[in-house]
This record gives sequence, structure tokens and C-alpha cells, in this order.
Amino acid sequence: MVLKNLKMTLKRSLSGVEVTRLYPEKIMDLPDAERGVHVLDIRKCIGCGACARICPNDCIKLVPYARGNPLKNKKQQYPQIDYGRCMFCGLCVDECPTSCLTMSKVFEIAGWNREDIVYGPEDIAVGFYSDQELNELAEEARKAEEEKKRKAAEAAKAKKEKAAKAKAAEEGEKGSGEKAAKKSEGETG
Amino acid sequence: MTTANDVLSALQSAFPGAVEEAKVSPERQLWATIKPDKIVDVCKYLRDDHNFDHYSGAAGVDRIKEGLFEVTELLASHGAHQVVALLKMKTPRDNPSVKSLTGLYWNANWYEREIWEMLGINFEGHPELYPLLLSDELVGAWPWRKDYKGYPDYNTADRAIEIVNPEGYADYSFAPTKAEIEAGTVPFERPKYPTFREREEMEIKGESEMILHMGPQHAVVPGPFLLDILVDGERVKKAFLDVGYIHKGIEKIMENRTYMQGIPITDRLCYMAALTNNEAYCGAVERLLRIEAPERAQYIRMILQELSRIQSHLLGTGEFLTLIASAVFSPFLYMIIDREDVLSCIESVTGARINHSFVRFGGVRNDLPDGFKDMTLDTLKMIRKKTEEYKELLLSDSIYRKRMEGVGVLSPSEARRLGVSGPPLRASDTPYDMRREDPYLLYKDMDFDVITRKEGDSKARVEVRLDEIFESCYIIEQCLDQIPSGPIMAEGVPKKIKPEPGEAYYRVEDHRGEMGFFVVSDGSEKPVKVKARGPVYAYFQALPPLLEGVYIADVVAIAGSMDACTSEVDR
Amino acid sequence: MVLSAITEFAAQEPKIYGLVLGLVAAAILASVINVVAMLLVWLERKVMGDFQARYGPNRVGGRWGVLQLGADAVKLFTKEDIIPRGADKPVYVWAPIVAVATTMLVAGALPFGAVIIDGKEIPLVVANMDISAFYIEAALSIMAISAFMAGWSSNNKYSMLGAFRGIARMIAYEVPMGVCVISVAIMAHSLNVVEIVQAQSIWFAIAQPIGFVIFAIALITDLGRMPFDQTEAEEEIIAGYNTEYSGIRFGLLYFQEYIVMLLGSILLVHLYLGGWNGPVIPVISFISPMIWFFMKLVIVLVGLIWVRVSLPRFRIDQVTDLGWKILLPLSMVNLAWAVAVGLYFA
Repeated sequence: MVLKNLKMTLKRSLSGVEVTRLYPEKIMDLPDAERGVHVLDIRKCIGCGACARICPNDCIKLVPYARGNPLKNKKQQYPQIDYGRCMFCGLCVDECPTSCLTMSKVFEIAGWNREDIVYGPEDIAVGFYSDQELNELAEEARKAEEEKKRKAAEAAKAKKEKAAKAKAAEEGEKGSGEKAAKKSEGETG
Repeated sequence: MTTANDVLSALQSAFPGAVEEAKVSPERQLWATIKPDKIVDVCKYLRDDHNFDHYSGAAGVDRIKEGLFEVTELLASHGAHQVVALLKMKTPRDNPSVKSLTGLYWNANWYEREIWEMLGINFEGHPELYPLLLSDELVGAWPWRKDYKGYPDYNTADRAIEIVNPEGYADYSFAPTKAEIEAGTVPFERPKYPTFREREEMEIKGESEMILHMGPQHAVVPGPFLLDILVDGERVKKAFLDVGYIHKGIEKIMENRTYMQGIPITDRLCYMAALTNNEAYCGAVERLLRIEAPERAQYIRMILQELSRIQSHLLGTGEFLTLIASAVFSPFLYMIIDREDVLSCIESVTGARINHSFVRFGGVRNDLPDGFKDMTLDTLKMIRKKTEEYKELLLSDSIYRKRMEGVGVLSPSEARRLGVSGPPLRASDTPYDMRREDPYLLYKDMDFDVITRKEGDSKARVEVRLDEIFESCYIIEQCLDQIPSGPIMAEGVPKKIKPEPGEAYYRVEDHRGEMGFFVVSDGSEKPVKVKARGPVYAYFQALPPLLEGVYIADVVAIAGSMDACTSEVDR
Repeated sequence: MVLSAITEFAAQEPKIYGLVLGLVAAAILASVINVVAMLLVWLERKVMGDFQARYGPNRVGGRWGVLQLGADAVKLFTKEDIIPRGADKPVYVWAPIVAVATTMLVAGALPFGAVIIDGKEIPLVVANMDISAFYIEAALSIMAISAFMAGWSSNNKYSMLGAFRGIARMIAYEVPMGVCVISVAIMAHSLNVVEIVQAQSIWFAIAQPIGFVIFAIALITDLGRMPFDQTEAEEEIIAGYNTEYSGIRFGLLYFQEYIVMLLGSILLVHLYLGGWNGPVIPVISFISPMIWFFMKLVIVLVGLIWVRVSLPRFRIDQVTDLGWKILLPLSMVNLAWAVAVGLYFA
């Protein structure tokens, strides 16, 4: 009458399998689709703010970040996520137009006070620019700027020369003798 | 089979002039605006002559721009036909009052109480118009009106006045400040009614009777609700039930969020059944947008919802077993271990274990990963074997049968009158399943049985749930065979969701019964009203009559066999 | 030197010597019993975990978690001492003390095994009484009084319900248990537990099978273990008579349950399973009876835990039905059987 009950527990005990996972030592295998802490690819972010607009809990704020892409827009801002409010729903990931915001498998985000678990772009960014790269980029930018200036100066000079030549050719027809005389005068004199 | 058009024409001929506007869309739903003074006669006619014997719910909408309140009554039938009648009544905003349907349908009681306390619409003829979800300080403030100015700030502790009530316990009251009264955030005209405690104590008749709280803070009730039982020795004389301890205001929150932002919030209605909640909401909005999800997305939705049903039934049965045994009862733990495999299958698709936010308007969020079919088929094989073992166990255990047979019997007519749905209704010999009554997704192409039992006692309810696990396994296997490849998101879904003005109602078979979402839109990007009609609301309403005359130990057996989820009641 | 002084003192003043010896033995017994009860709780948690496919305590005190109970005891000692307003103070304070004192009463008369010195078996018992079987069984039923004191004085509806259920259960199950003890005594021709053990050439579990089953069921009920733990059913009446107790008072009531479980199992082993009888193991013949005794005891304890983990709970009216309508008539049948067999072999 109650023997099935007793048999079931005895069978489970004799099989010896314990299903407890000893947690800090062993962490479980999470699937690829797992929604954990965000990862921001800073080279693709365009600072549009779609993630901040769609978040149901207003967790995302846009803040400036020095190691973003300095060439594009000096005033560009990047998302900062408050994990005290985030419910890991994934709407921000779906809305991002450049697919730069994704979610990783990290889920351990405890902190000692509320400010600790506000993760700015420095905490969630991958692909940020290192110092060397920043210097190189600045160098390139400067060179490009100089190049542009030089080209502009050359173009302006070329234009001026051309205008001067055209004018000289014009006047040369009219009083080329005068000019030539002046010139020769200038030369000899 | 009666169709909606037949009902409409019969109604128009029987009550000329009572029907102001009418529409049939989609094919089984009849939308009609009825004159408020004729509503009781219309409903009586529908109930007696056209078998509309299931009162599904009522929703109140605040149309502040037009100065009206609308109350929509939802009527359906327990199997005679598949038509759903949604009857709307308009009443002016200054003095709103409609007739109550409690004379015709017993379970209209709580739905009308909720509309009264939230919107201030008076229901004439209602026997007990007392607050249900709100605490006593808020009654009279009518929170769901569009011009509600907010909850007054009761945070200041030094404003608290201590009152010692006659039994010696201290109570605190907060007097409103002058600034609050001038700002108009404090209702200083409150309706008068006896409090819950007074209503209980009116029922004590003898010296040896006492009120025992299986109240909000109890060791093992599933979610906080107040259940007071009036006992005489070990027998229960009467039971009182009050809900509203975790009222989060989800419906009002969803009015202040866009349609897309509302999807994660519907997850949290009943966290065990997140996928069917998502489905109900997205289905209603899809009807408003007039788009349909592609086939692959529909198959994915079906697979995941049936997987979710398996894990919810395992947990529900396991939790119920801890109520009649202790928490160390081993089969409960074995069911939890099996459930982990099912959750891993769901997690590999959606990325989360309970709050999925997976269904989107016109499709789903992710596609099935590689290897999903093999993993799921292995899991289903294991679940079938284990569930067979659990069924045998519960059939052969004589202590369990002594506790459960003949306890909490719901006869079929009683179950229909009380308005329950889902496994308790099916355990009382009524094959009422939304997947057959109102086929959504692709259930009309699937081959499965609707499980019923004849006895209607607690043991039958648990057996129905365990048998439904087998049916769900069969449905998933069919879906995995038939699933086509293709897109998972419909084309032409707009980036900014702004449906045309209108209303939509969508029903699904939730794990606990019939769940419906009623969405009203007015062309802007936020809905005017979202009403979630949950199945457990009806269970709780039906519980006090069931508990009269049983032993104290049976109270938990009956309440547990209903498999309640309080979060859905309180929203 | 010390030994000769003690023997001299014993010869001179025998009465005071006997008194002091008794007190010392009682003190040792009390402490040993409490420590063994802690080990029993640890054993239960580990074995329950094994039945439920999980580990039991496995962090405190190494991989086996042996110090877990020590940590729990420290926690209970350091909690705030709360006495509810409106509680009956003297009764409330004395209930746990009465509970544990009862167990000491029982433990005084129960033999805890035997040792073989010079070929003679010496039972380890503090007070070797002639009517010890009956005395132990009666003293075990005083537990109900302490449960009732705890439940009544707490000024709490749940505790009161638990206390009522405890009394009803005790009344229903004392009679079959007493009749079984008498049936055993008839077959053994004595009420002294030591002599009952020595008279078991075949185990009484085989000679009186019905009696064994009835005594086992009645024992589980008296101990308040599953499937008969209605007095502390968590789902309906929170914690029964334990509800308002916290801190070390709760610790005393909690350990009392386990001490009584230990003593009841020892009684079952002595009465029906042959106590410490068994073939003498050659090399360690000094403690060979103790080894047999421990093996049988551990099997009985694991059996109790096994039953707890596997079975759901009865309702209180079904428990009293079982006691009055099934166990009592069967115990009468068992008594008749014992008389017949006893007469046949006499």
C-alpha cells in the first residue's frame, strides 16, 4: 500500500547520484542565448539612444566616454546601465540598430553599495581604444588635417597662380610691350 | 453550430433598440454596445436561450476625452457553441452607475467589486460592494481614473499617530497634511462600509468558535492571501478570503508604457506561466495591428508554451504534495529535479529561466538553436517515464488516497456556476479547453485529447494535471516533426507600434485555465487600457464555498489542489 | 592512591557513596545523551539528503559537515529570549525543562548495551529496575504533558490546536503500546529489560510479528514522526506547540524530540530485535555486544528516517481511527497469541 513510496526513495538513494551542484566551485553551462550582463562594442556604437528610449525601467543613461571613437564626433555619448534596476529583458539588445549591444553569460554582479553596480561604458565596453591607438588615431587625424590644409593651401595657390596667369595673359595682349618694357627695365635696372 | 451573426440577429430581433452598435470580428467574437438599462434583460436572454452560461469577466475603460466610462462584459459558453459576446455599456463620467449582473451569474461578484474600487463605477444591486485589492486608505481615490493625481506621500514617520485598539495591539494612522488636502490628492469623502474584520466577527456565533488565520504570513501558502477560517474544534464553519497583498498595479503601469515595453511586464503577471501571458498580450495587439506571425514562429511559440506547461504542472503538483506531506517529501524533490531539464530546454532558446519576454508582435525573438530537437526529445522521453512513475505512486499510496478522495468535491454544475476553468473544471467532467474552444496558433492542426475526469475531487484535479503532461509531450513531438524553415518575424511590422483605434480580446489556455487579454487602443503609442483576465481569480472566488464543513487539514489539501498563483490574482 | 581512598570511603559510608555515584553517572549520562542526540540530528540530515539525491550538510567541519550541529547550537544560544505577551509565564518556562527531564527519567533505566568482562556479560545501565520495561513505556508518555504545557501556555491558536492533537494522539496509542510490552514480558517471564534481552533466544520480532508491527507503528506515532506528525504540521498549524518558542528553549524542545527518538529506538531494539545478542566476535570480545547493538540501532534509525522521507501525512481523525479501531484489537489478538505461545513453551 505504501510500499511504492518506500521503494522509490530506496532506489534513488542506492543509485548514489547527487544532483546538487557545489556552486562556487562549479558553475553551470549556460546556453549561448543567455541574457546576462551587457557587452558593448564601442567601435560600432553610434550613440543614437534607442536602447535608453526602449528600456521599460529607465536603466540606461547616455554618458560621455573618452575612449570611444574620437574621430567621429567629440560629443558622442555611450550607454551606462544601472544594474540595480535592470531586469535583463533584452529589449535594448533588440532595438540597437548597429547590433553593438549584446548580452553575455556573466551573472555575478554583486557590489557593496548602489553606486558600485552602475556599470558605465568603461565596465561593459569591449573594443575600446587603448592609449597607443588613441595616440595613433590622434596622430593620423593631425596628419590628415595637415594634409588637408596643405592641399587646400596648394589648391588656393594654384588657383591664384592660374588667375594671375590668366590676368597676365590678358594684359599681355593689351600692353605686353609695356609690361615687357617694364620687365626689361626692371631686369636691367 | 451557432455563429456570432446568428446570435446578433436573434438579439436584435428580441430587443429592438437596445443594441446601439454591433460588429463581428474576428469570426467568433460579437462586439455590441447595449443600452445600460437593458443589460440585465439582454444577458438573461442570452443565458437562457443561447447557452451563454460562462461569465468570463468585466473590464472598465476610462474615456476621459469623451467624458464616459465604458464597462465591457465578457460572456461565453461552456461548450454549447464557440461565440464570445463582448457587451459594452457607456455611462457618464460624473455619476457612473450600471446594473450589476450578480443576480444572473454568481461569479460576477469580484469583477464588479474591482471595477468599483478602481474606477468608482457604482453597480446597482451588488450584494457586497467592498474593496478587494486596495487597502482602506485608498478607497475613494479611484486609482485607475486617468486624472488620478497619485498616492499621497505617507513616508514621514513622525506624522504617525499611534492608536491602541481594544485587544492591546498598536495601530498607526497617518493624518494628511494641509498641502496634500489642498492639492487634492487625498480623498476626504470615503464611502462607508464595514471592514473585513468586522464582517468576519459578525459571523461568530458560539463560544467555542474561533477564527484561525492561514493568513498572508504563513509557512507554506503559495503567495500572500488572507484566508481566515472560522473553526469549531477541528471543523471549518466558514471561510473568508481577501486578496490584494501583492497588488503591483500592472494594468496601470502598462497604460504608461509603450506596447513594446509592456511585454516584459506581462511576464510578471504569473511568473510560472510567462510564455502564455506574453502570447495572450501579443496576440491581442497583433489583432489590433492586423498582422499574423509566420508559420515557423507559430510552431516555436507552441513548442515553448507546451514545454512551459510541463514544468508548471510538475511544480504545481510537487508544491501541492508538500502541503499534504511535509517539505521533505521526496517525490516533490524528484519532480523539481526533472523540471530542471525542461527548464534547460526552454533556456537554450529564450535565454532566461522564468521571465522570458520572448514573444514579439508578429513573431518571436530568437530562433531555435542547433541540437534543440535532440535535446528536447531526450528530455521528453525522460519526462514520460518519470510522470508514469509519479502517477502510479499517487494511485497506489493509500495514505494519499485517504487524504484526497472525496475531499473538496466540485460537481459539474457547481463548477460551472462558480466560474472556475482549467484543470479543476476539466476534473468535473466538462471538456472546456481554449485550445479547442477558441483555437489560436496552429492548435487546430494538432492531434491531442482534452483530459477530463468524472469525480471532481482533489485527487481528480491532480490526475488531470499529470495526464496533461503526456498530452503536452505528444503535441511537442508533433510540432518538432512538422516545423518548417522560414522567417521568425513577420514582414511589415512597423518600427513604432501605433495600432489603429479599436479593441481586441484574445484568449489562451494558460497552465491554470482560461486567460484573456483585453487591449484598447486609441491610435497613440501607449494603450488606453489593458485588462488581464486571469484564471486564478476565479479559483479564489470559488474557494470559500468549497471550504465549508471540512477539516482544517483538508483546507490545505483543497487549496493546494487548485494550484493557485497569487501574483496573477492581484496583478 | 585515589582508588584506595574511594574504596575506603565506599566501605565507610555506603549510602552517601551510592548517592554520589548515582549523581555522577546521571551527569555523565545527561551530557552523553545530548551529544549523541546532536549526532543523531546530523545523521538524519545526511541520510535524508541521500534519499533526496542531494548532499546534507557539507561545508561546516570538513566535507562531512559534522560540526553543523555545533554551529546550530551556538546560533540557538545567541538568539533573543522572547516570551509572548499574555503567555502563562511559569508554565511556558517550565515546559522545555519538563520535556528534557522526562528523557533523563527514561534514560536512567534503559540499558545502553553490554560489555563482556571475564566471560560475563555486564549490561550498561544506571538503574537496573525490576519493572523497567513498563516504567520506560510509561515515562515516555509523560512527553505528552510537556507538549501540552508548551502548547497551552503560548497564548496562540496554533499551539493550542497542536497541543490538543498531541493529547488525542497520545491517548489513542498508549494502550496498544502497553499491551504489546506486556505480551513481550509474558513471553520473557519478566518485566526487566535486561532479562528480556537475555531471554531472546529467537528474536521476539519473529515470535510475535503482529506485536512487532504494532509496536513499531505506535512508536512512530509517539515520537511524532512522519507520517504521524500532526502536532507540528507545518502547513496547517505553522509549528504546532513549538510556534512561540525561540532560542535555546526551542533548542531544548527540538533536541528532546531527537533524544526520545533515540531512546524509543533503543527500546524497540531491546524488546523485539534481541538487544545486544549476537555471536561473540573473537578478537574484540570486550565490546562485541556493543557492536551488535549499534548495528541494530543504526538500522532502526535509518528505517525511521526512511519512513519520514517517503510517506505523506495522515489527518488527525484518521490517526485516532487507526489507533482505536485497528491497532487496539490487533494488540489484543497479539496478547492472546503471546499467552498461548508462552503457555505452550512453558
